[in-house]
Amino acid sequence: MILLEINNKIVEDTLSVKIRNSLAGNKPDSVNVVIADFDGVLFHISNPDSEKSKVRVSISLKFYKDLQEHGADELLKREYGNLLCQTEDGYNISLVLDLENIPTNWEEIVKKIGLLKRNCFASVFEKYFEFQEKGEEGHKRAVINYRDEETLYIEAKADRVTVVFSTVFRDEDDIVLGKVFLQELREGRRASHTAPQVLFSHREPPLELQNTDAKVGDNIGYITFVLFPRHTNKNVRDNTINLIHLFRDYLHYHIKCSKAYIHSRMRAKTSDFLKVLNRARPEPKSVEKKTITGRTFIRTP
Amino acid sequence: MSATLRPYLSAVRSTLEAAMCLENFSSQVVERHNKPEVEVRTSKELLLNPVVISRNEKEKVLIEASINSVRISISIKQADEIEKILCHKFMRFMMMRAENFVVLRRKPVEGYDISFLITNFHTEAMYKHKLVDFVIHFMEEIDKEISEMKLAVNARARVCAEEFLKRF
Repeated sequence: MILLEINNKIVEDTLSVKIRNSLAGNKPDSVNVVIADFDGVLFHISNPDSEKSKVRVSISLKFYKDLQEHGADELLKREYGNLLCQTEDGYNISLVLDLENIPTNWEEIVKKIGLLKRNCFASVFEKYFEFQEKGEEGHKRAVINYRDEETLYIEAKADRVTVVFSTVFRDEDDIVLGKVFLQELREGRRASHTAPQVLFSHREPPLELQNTDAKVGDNIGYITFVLFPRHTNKNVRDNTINLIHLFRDYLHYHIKCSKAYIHSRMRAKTSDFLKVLNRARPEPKSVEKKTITGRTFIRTP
Repeated sequence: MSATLRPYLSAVRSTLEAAMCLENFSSQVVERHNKPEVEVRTSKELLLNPVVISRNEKEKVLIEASINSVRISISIKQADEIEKILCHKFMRFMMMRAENFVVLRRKPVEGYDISFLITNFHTEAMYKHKLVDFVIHFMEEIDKEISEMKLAVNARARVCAEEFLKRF
């Protein structure tokens, strides 16, 4: 599995089970599940007001306020329309599904609900892609603190949109491994002519963010994506958003996989060495001896 | 590059064979104790001259011998950052399992990456020529393993980058 999935499989599966159960005519059971997703996002599937026939899916994002500034509410209304309901306490958005009136296209709706996190992010990107399409410049940069010490910056210019991820490498080795990955991404033009330009800056923020209060440090890296109209036009916009919003998780997932692989190799090599070392031990001489009359006895050294 | 490898390893092998002539020797300083003299270093007459065999500035082997023990310290080739962290991880991994390894030292000597401590008890329980074989085999395999791990990381990075970018 090289690419990460953008939908939340657990949400989709839980809802599918409940719906199938209902369609088969069985009485619905109560449900109360809390699901964690990337970037500290929590999903909560429960029954509103203990009504077993309704299932409510709520999402909580720590940085929802930042997204609201850029029109997240409107986009969610557009996508989910009648599924939106009273927001649950402690969460940011809630959708409700009535198990007694399941629409015929329920599979599509379940898939849409699985994309709830992606749709929350999508609004910011769409807004700035629109700015670039209309050729409007001079809009404020979007700043979203999607993780504790990591931020996402989006800026639209007349002919391009720049997306900058700031990421923290908690481990020193991660920095070196991260650099290898980003070196390959930078040279990614070889792989595909349509690929966007990727730039990487270690320790210091790139030129666009020079005079902001962007963090500086040994374990901080900035990754810039330069998206041109061929990535942001209406046809491919959704695909671009899908790929970009999970990039930071993608990078760290692969760094962790590399470390796990290295670890398993080291384990194999170490046991190899042990085998060679044990060849140095002489084989224990057989200690059972026989006399001429046939008596056997064991000599202990 | 490998033109220097054979003479380097054969020099290390002959030095080890000469240095690994160990006999039991109780401590002169403390009654009824038996310590590896190369670690304790209290009596000068029990220690032999240390020998350094260098292949180049970065790769060398330090062999310190004494009457009842030998300490072998190896400095491994680390050409760039990623080799450095891979080597560091690998050495740490093995040194944590030093008990299992018997002849490995838990901490490397200053200035080197990994150290072995072989005492007369080890040479009494194991064949001497096989111990020397082990050390030489170790030196060869480490370099190979670190190159392979580095290749694996680079290959993974390339595949990930390609997969990601070709979706655009």
